[in-house]
Amino acid sequence: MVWHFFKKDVRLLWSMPLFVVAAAVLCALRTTLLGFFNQPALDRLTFFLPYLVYLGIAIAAITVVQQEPLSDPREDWLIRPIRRRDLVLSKVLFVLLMVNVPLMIVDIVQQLALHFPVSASIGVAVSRALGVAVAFSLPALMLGAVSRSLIDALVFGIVSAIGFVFLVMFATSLLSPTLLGIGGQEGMTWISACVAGLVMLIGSAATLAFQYSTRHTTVARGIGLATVLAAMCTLVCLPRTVVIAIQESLWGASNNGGINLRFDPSHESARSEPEHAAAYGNGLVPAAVLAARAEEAARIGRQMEKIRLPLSISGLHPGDILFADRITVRLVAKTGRVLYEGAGVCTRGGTGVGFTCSDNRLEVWASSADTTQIPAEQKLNLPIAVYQQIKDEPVRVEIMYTLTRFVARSSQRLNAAGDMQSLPEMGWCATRIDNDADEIELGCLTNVGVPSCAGVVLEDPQTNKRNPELHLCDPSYGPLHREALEDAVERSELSIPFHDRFGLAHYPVGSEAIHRARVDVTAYDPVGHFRSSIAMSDIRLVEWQLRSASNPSASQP
Amino acid sequence: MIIQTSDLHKAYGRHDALRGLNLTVPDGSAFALIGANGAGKTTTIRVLLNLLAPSAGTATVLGMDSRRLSRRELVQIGYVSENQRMPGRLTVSQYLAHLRAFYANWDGELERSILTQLRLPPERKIADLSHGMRMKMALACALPFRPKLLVLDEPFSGLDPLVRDEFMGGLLEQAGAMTVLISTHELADIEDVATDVAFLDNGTLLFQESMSDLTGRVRRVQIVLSQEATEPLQTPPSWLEVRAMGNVLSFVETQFSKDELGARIAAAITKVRSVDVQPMSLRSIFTVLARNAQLEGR
Repeated sequence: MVWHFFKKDVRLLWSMPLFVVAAAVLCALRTTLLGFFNQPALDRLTFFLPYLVYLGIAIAAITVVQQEPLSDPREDWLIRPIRRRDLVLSKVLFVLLMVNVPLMIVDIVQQLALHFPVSASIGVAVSRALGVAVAFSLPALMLGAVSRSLIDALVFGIVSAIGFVFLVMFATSLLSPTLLGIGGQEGMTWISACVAGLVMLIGSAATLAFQYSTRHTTVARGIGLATVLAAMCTLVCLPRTVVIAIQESLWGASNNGGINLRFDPSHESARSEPEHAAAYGNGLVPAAVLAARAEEAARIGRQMEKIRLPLSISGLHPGDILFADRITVRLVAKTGRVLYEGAGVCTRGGTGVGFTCSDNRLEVWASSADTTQIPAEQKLNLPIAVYQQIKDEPVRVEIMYTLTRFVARSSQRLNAAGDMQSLPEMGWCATRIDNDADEIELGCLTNVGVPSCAGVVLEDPQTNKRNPELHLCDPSYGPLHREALEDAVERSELSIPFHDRFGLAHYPVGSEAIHRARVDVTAYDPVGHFRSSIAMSDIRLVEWQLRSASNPSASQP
Repeated sequence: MIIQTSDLHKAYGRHDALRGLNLTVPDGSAFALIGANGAGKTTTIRVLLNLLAPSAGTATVLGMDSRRLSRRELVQIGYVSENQRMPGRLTVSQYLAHLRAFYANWDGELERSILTQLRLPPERKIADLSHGMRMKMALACALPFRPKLLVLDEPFSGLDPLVRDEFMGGLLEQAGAMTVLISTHELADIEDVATDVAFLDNGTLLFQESMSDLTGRVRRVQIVLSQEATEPLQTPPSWLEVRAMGNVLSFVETQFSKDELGARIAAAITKVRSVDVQPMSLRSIFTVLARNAQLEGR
């Protein structure tokens, strides 16, 4: 009977999957038309297409379920000798075969058309199809099963979304923000996403099974709503310690590879962390946005104090990266009383609703040949109240690290002034000189995502001169570098400066060499997670306070 | 008994739609469930067919608890309701073809004959059918598998006389040995068909008996007196709607017995010139009993 219902639904609803597939094809064409480099006008005109696909999936799934509505006792099918298990399976089959599989085929064709390898194309398309099925199709089927009509379902969906927003507002306004969102685990977010997906999968399946077997719509709605909220909360609130423990258990025990961190007050002017280069796809930012960001930074500065501690790191090999996924700091008084423990500081938003969290961070690139003792600076964020209370008394500072070591996997080169190549780690990449003739634009189309960390440098093969390396780390330790719900093909962009119009900076590889210059892209792989800790006694925080624009009167040691 | 309910209750929030209903439908009967609007007829049927869950009590249909009706029972039950919702985007023939797969004993010949008899357009979408056509469509979907039990919930509601006749013709022709449970207001249409009748009022069963017993025991009585008639101070409880007009006293005797009526009249009334006893239509009986139930505040 599953096939019997499936055929009937196909006869009635074939136009809906066709609409979804058409929208997906337009999405794929959009990515192809946009090419390697952002085209804001076309981007603005077509931004809605991915949303259209997901809206179409939801409408198709809800509609197919409501061909045989469950909550209305007037429905004729309810008094027919129909096995409800067959009915629900036919609905799942319809969505999978008529919506998800065609979308998967569109993904595969798109990737093959862009000359990505067949195996990777299929793998990406399958994982994306699974993600869409779990995150959209199944919840939409569930929504259809607990509602009376499409409008009813949309209202229920909107109410759920508003409910979630209010829940988050309530949580962030009344509860301790440390319960949420603090101590980002960086590359481990895939675990939260997978657990949330699992919650959604189990909850949706349970709701469907319950509703189809009992037709207790009110109870089923409660289960469905609880499922959505549980999945959302899992995504946001899964304790970081749990996430890290799962990641470590999946990777197995890793030793520290001889890497050691120690407090080293001997190098007073520790080098700063490498500044993050302009992020992938970072476009022009309006002045109003910049002003708002400055205001936000000043507001955070009024609630948070930073101290910086000089460290020495040994055991890293040249080219390695040491990345901290979580840094927990504990301040202990002489009496042994713990004065503070946290992985960062969350500050209230300007309206008192919501918060911004500033995690403690550490990212060390062993770029020089001498890596015996690499100086680094550990900046720690402390709540201003804690700092003010104990800044003058000697405390013991304990820092617990959850660290990941990255090693260079491969290095690839492109001509800087206009080239297009398939780079094994980056996908299809192209370069060009920007309109102002002061930056090289590097644009890549990838189906598996960019590496967790990458180093990009402009070099002159004739003189062997190199510009300062741009370092980018956006780790993901999951099986795929990308979230499954994005487009099958993703565009990433980076601007590499080689000329300063104001003459303040001089680049070894400048305008005169740019036409023979090459862009060297190095991809890095995570090779192990481990924990480390350091402890410092008799530290007066005031002596290590970081002078900042928001606090010009800060004293120096 | 093909249907039996025991102390059946159904509440919608604070409103009790059924209040301890005890109903028995004999096998092979044409059972009429009558009652005013809101009496609980549709709720009773929905509970019997497991479309609604009872709040308390039990109902068995074809020997099975209504909450556990399985495909084995449902292949023996046909259902036609004024509110029935069929897939509007399918045509008449498409929906019949769809249903055919669920019934092993679906009679294609019978289906064609019913379609012809009811003059249903096979290629028209169900959504495009008129109300009367949809009712006939529901009947056409309920008969070809020759159900053992046919449940009709207000099947005549909103139908014009011609369609009613077609509907009843189609029904009677195929009824055979099946048990028919029919809830309706249109008492004239079932008067000649029903073998049993149950009167539901405000969620409770006022009475249930065979049609012949009911029409046999309820009579309109007119007594002509030799003087001005007045309503007797005391009348037997079986007399309803006692009225005096001129020298005529009339009432409805609900426990008519040829042998006992004379004695009852003699005990209550004097100076009787003549007595006229007339049988009543089901509609009149229903009206009198319903009005009396309202007066008694049930």
